[in-house]
Amino acid sequence: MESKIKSLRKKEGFFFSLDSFMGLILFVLTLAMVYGFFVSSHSLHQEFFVSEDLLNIFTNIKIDDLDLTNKYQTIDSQVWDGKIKDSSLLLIEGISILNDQNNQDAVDFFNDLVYNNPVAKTGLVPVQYDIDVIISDSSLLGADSQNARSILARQRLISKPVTTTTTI
Amino acid sequence: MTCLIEKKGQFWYLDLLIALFVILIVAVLFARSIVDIVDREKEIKVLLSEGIDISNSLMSKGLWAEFPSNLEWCKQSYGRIGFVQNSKIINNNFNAFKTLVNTPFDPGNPSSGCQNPGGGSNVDGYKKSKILLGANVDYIIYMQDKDGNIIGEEYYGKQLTPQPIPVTIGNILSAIDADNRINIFRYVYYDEDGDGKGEIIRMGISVWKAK
Repeated sequence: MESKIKSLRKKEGFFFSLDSFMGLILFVLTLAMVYGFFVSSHSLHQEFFVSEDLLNIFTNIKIDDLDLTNKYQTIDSQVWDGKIKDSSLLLIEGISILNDQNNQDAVDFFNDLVYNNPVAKTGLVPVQYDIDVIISDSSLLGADSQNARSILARQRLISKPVTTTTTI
Repeated sequence: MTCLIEKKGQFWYLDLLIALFVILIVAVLFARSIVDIVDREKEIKVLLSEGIDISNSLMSKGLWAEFPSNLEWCKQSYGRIGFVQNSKIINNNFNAFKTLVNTPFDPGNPSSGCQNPGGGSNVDGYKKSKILLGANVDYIIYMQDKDGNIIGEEYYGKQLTPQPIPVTIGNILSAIDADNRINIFRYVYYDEDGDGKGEIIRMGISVWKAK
């Protein structure tokens, strides 16, 4: 009988500690879930500004407007090499025409506008955002959109310059 | 009988009090944490909304009175601050904005500073800019090139103390004393010297509520 009483007394303290411990786990778990909900539901405003503002620039600014010598050496060399024949074109037209000739030239052109290090993707756009340019359903930069948390697209219709040649 | 008397010890009054005390503390901490998260999210939403409004206004071509003189946001009672048209920064407007936010007000000289649209004594240029932008928060703007350098090594808006020296993005943002801060980036073309050759830059707008 005495040993029974002793064993009962021993069990009281254990039950109380376990109860508090489980309560604490529930508390921390619920807080983490609530906080995680707010973190995961973010707004898309910055993505919108990146896409929309860059597209506006590409449709308003010409290649001639850029300080090619000091700021855009890759594009400058493309002009000198004759890959870009008409520097009075809009940036968006330049990307499209270069893409028709050679995809890599178009990639280099775009990267020179936006990035200072295309490999590390550092430059104008914050590193947590990835950009792709899609021309007639064809991806220019091959960005991995499958694993994206959110995607936002903006688009423009452009007309390509038509060149006619006359042969005798 | 002995057995029953011994088992009464399972339900100690002191044990119950301790358990209730622990549950109370945990409940209070839990409620405070949830309320704190919700309040913080509300403040962030307000800051985001204000930041977007400020950035949209700056990205417009602005509005000012034709008389007595153009681009005098400081001296006029109305107008909208903006210096971007067709993705290009309008240098005249941008210079007027820079002049506005750098105009001080000396209480000993009532004619200094900028006209207060709401009447009363003049105000400094930064405060006038907040009135014209309709902002209830503090803000600064800065221009960055694609190499991350702050163009002109200047920022515009609220004067930060201590002054960030050198003027880099890290020093600017760490000089802002606030619990919450929102950064918005917009993209524009900027021809700084007006020679017809410019570059694509990032305009950063940081907004916060002072503590």
